[in-house]
Amino acid sequence: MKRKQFISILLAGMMIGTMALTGCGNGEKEKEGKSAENELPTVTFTHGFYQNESEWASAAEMRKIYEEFAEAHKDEFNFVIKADQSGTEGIYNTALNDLSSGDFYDIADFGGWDITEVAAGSDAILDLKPYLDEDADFKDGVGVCYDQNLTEDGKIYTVREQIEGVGFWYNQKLFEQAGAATPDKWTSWKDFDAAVDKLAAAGISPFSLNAGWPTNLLAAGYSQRDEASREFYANGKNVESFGDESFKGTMDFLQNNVLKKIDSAHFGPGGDDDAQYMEDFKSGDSAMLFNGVWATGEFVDCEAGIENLRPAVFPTDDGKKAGLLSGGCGYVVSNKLDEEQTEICIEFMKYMTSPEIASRIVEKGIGMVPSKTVDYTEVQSSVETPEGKLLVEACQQLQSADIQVLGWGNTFGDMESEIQNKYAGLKDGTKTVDQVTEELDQAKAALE
Amino acid sequence: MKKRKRWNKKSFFILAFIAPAILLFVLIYAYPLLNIIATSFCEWNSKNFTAPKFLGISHMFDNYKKLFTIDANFQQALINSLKWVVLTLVIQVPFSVLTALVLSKKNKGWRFIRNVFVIPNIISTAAIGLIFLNMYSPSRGIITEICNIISPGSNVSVLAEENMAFWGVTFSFILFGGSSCLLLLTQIFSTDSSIYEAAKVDGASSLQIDMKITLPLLKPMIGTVAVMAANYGLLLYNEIALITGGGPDNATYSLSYYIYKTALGSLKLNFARANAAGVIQMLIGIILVGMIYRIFSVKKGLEE
Repeated sequence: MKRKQFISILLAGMMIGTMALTGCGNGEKEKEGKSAENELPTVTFTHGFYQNESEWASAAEMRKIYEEFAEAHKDEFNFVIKADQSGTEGIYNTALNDLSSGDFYDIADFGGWDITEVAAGSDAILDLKPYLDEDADFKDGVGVCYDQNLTEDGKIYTVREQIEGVGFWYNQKLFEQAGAATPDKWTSWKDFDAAVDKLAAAGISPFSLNAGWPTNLLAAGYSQRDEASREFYANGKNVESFGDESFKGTMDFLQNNVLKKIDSAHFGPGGDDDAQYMEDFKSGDSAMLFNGVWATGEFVDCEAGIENLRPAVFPTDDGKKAGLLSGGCGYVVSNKLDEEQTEICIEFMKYMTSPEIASRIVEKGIGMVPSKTVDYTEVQSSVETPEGKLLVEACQQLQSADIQVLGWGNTFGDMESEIQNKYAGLKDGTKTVDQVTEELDQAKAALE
Repeated sequence: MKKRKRWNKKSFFILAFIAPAILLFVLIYAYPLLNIIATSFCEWNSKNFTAPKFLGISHMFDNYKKLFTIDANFQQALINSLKWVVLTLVIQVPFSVLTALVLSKKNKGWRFIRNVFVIPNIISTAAIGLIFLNMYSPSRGIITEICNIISPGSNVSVLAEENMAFWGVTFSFILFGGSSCLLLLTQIFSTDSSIYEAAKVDGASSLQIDMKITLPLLKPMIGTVAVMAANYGLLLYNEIALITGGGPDNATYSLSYYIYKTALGSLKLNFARANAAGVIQMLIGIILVGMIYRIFSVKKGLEE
């Protein structure tokens, strides 16, 4: 009996012990800043470019750029590169989990997922401003990110090597077919209205939209039409009321000059899986596409014919041109690293925003860069593919736009989704502009 | 005295063996539950992410007050979730009972129909969501095509219109009662066949047998199925996330989707208010289960 009791207690003890030990890891070892192998300082960089080359060539090129940096400095430090298979959203979610236990990545690329507010609130990330201020080349390399990511308390927690550059695309052939003036000749939004009417009269859908992204872009573009509207837009996250006349004007324009000009078949519900607006443009079923410069990758061998597709920036009513350039959240560095490790991270960001890498990112058709040092005319001559040439042309237009502002999401924050929720009601006429602005004010109050 | 000592030894061993289970329950279930309740009385968002702060006695219900006074998205989510609970109870459960009754007659092809009826329940809700997303697409979806045949040029866009989107989501799950039907069928088949034979000898019609014998005997199982269905309606998330994302104009928000959006789907990361909504959802769930158990006398049935 005693033996039985002993075995039973032993078994129960083992079960509890195993459970308790399961959760214990050797976190301390992982946090060591130096590799045991060669005593060189080590920094781990996490990114979301995990896709293979056949799936997304740009991801493979980005990994190559990272690896070249690690290789070039292999005698000075260990730069460990980790691709997170769950992408940048996964990196953001992991960071949230880590923050709750006081941890943070050494350095990670958040690819637009804004971790800075919560990470800075938890005192986990490094202020990059002193490093930017002491190095003019670094500051030039991060371009618009410097001003856009400057917080109210004068800090910069993130910079990026790529930015979301957004104007729009049009199908020149369809415009000519309809006898409408092409966007490169527009001098005000009245020209936009006239072209839309001519396209519609010719039986061509002026654009395909949905209750989300493409409509947000058009709304952001129209919001740059005059000084008053630009002022309201610049104040984005801190607006007191959406009842402002300029915002009402934007909603009125969306309702009457945009959404009511297209049929339901050209207006999708929105969301990540709703890319019909893109398909319609590529198939030549719609004349304009509101999307970023990166859309060129989608135009290869499209039915509409890549030779007919042209980039454009938004007109304003005071004779200027406007483009959306959003830096957003990119590289974020932990403030718990030692001096050597911090220097490695800074070195890496300088490398990623250097003129050489910036030119390579554009030439390879990966996207637009924030760097002020890139000469797009020069880059144009070294690009051979039609989609690459289109990308460079689009970047060039955006870089030379008189007005360069943040996109809708970066401007309005959480209110972005509340605003886009109203598009369906504006389209089918179940909501008036006044109702929309009133509801937005309520939603804003609820968010606070 | 000796007997009592032996009982103590026995209870010690029982306790030792259930200790791991109790520990797991406390760590994985009870602790998070208590944490959710406690933090619903706190300020906890992106500004104090690592340190929730108690709102104070005089303000401790602020999160709850905001939910019911100024948060239109929560109010919409609450109404929708309650509607889905009612709809599952009045459509899905009766439909499953009816199907089970028909299949229990074992007419020709009943096995095939049973299997077909269960298929949607073994496909992931993510796949179902994508199927319905394509069905409702205004440019390539079959629903728009059918509507255009009935009313040319109507170009109905189910998910872009507030009134239709709610029903669009509802029909993506409401008729899929395969699992419930299987449970009910098993219960019917396990009933002593002599009861039915006696009824037939007494001249009872098929309808009378169903109404007077089968359904009363099924009552506890219908209660169980109703609890499962009502919970599904109350906790609806996948279909919303995949088909509408809560839109248009938040018309298809559910409580679960609201909780996700409030806690993790916004820059504000308002965990405290999301947890307050979670507590309300939990309370509704408890009340619902209690009511359904009472109506269908499930407990009594199970004890019998």
